Amino acid sequence: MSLRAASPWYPGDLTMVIEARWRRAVAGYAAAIAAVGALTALGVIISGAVEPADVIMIYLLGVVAIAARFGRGPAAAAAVLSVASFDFFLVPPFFTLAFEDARYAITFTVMLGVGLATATLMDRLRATAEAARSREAQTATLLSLSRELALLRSSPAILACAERHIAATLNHPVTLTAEPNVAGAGALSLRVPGGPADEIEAPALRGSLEAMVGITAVALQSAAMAEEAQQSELRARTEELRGSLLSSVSHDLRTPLASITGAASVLLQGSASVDEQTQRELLQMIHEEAARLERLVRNLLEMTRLSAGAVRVHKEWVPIEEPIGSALARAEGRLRERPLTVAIAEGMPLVPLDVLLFEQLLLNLLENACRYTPEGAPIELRAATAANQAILEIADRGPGAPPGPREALFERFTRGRVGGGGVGLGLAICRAIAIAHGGAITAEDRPGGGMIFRVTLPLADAPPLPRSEEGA
Amino acid sequence: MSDAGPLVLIIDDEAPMRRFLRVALVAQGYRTVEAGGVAEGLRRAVEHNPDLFLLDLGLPDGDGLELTRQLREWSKAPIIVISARGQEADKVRVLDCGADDYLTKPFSMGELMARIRVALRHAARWSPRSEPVITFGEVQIDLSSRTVSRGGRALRLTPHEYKLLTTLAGHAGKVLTHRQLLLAVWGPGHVEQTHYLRVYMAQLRQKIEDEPARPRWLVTELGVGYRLRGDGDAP
Repeated sequence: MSLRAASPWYPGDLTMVIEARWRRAVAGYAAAIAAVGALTALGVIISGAVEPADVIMIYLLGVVAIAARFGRGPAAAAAVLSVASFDFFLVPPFFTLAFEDARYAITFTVMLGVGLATATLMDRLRATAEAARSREAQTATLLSLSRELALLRSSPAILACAERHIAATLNHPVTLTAEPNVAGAGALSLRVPGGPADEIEAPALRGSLEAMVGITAVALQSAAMAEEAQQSELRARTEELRGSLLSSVSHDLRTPLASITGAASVLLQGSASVDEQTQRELLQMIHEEAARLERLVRNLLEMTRLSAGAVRVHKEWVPIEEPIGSALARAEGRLRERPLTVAIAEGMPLVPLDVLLFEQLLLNLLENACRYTPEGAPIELRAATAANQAILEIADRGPGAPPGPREALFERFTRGRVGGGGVGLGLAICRAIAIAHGGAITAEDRPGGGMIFRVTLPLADAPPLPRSEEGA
Repeated sequence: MSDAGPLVLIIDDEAPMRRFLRVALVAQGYRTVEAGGVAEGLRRAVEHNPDLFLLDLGLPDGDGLELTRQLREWSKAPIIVISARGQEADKVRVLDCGADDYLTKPFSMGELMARIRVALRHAARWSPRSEPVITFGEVQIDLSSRTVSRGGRALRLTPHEYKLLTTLAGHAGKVLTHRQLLLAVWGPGHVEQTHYLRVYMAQLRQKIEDEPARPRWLVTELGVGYRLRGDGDAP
């Protein structure tokens, strides 16, 4: 058996592998026999006290009950059995299907007719009520399925979600598989191993299944399209970045290289005109320029990795002192002549962050402060918490940034001032790292002169800490 | 040192890097052997039985981890790993696997020499530190009476803080990974609980350091572990 999925993109076959279910029908007939038996026993007991017509009423009540519970087949069987039992046990001569009084022929016919008609009517009523109930349930299922699918972006998740809903509808495990073929089209097949055949064959349920598979097909298709759009946007952005990198960076790479090559060639000549102090200066310059190149290349690599989405943020619970201490140690050479104060709020909780990325962020902010403020100008580093956020500030007493919107400082290839010696990537990297942590970074003018860079990171419930120990 | 100085095997695929290391080491009185890859490194190691290995992590013909494992099967000589920034996970694996220390490119001569000195010193000591008192800066640890003092004043340390400090002090100058420290202080049941270690380290710094946010002695090796900077080991 196959169903056509209602989707132009997934015109697939809906395959169902079904094993008919007999158990329920057998149970209905067994109940009919049992009910008639019980009613006959009751009829025999009360037959002395009541008219035979009353016993017939009791039988009809049994037929109605069987019809309401098990449907038409068992109810018809119950009607026939009722007539037979009535004749056999309650109509003289007893224990034979023959009867003396010819009027009983009419009684039996009417009893059988009323029984069968009741069975049919009850069955129809039952079917209508059940259909209404299942339609309602199916509409609700469809609604919740489409709502959930709208949030999903990956095909396995979509298939799993649809499987869950269909299985809940059928009350039976199912498997839904998509076999994509050329041009984005594909076939969806639904397998219901050992499922209830009679129910699936019912037009209402079948229609509902088709609708669910159709919705799933549409969701799969739009997920595929969204992924493709994202891919091409990423490609375009990478291209754009590569272009601006080349134009902006070639100058910045060549300048230190030229100084290094030049200085080294002078030293190699070993000319007598170069005195010892000049030699030392040239060596110093080679060292500094190489360090500058290293920073530049490091920032370029970091930016490329961050904007290509190749960086995975590995968050750990860390005391904020740790990345701060590490960044200060790495920036030591540049900070040596600077008055620097570090103020970390008392009782600062653990912060969930990627230590290596966060150290990079701090290092870039510190290098930035060193680069754009005069030597000897103080730098302050503060950490505190507010409104379930960790806040980290680096404040300087430099000349501040040129006028203009402060957010623009965080754009790639934006330099605070010409001649600063950077490529304009440091703050862009800071912003990318802050965003990757679910946080933000802002810059503002500091009252009394200078700049404040402020990083905010979301805090969450800290993990359980070891029980405190007694002092040793 | 005489011409019988310690023999260092440099395993690095970059010829300029090997040259820089050779020049630097020879100037300090070390003897050097060089290898350009894993296979050659193993061969040279067997031929010369060096006193120390300098191993670059980014070798083209194989895995530094595997090489470390193979060397550790027969050699106790210290292995110092040279790596780029961003290879922290690889570094941790190699350190947990038996390497002794690491250097991140670019590094200075001073750092290189300090690491080599520490590694050779630890290698020369067969038994655990026998002297009962360890001193760095103003801090004094008396192992026999299990007391720690700073500037003559006794410090109150919890048992875990004491264990952490003595573990680091027993390997002064050498990096210890998070895993190694957790194993030594908390035991094998807690090797994943890195935040325990971080919290205790922060507490210890509060007690030991003048400026806990700019530690002088208990240095963070970010993404790898911690190091107690011994007297005279500063680069």
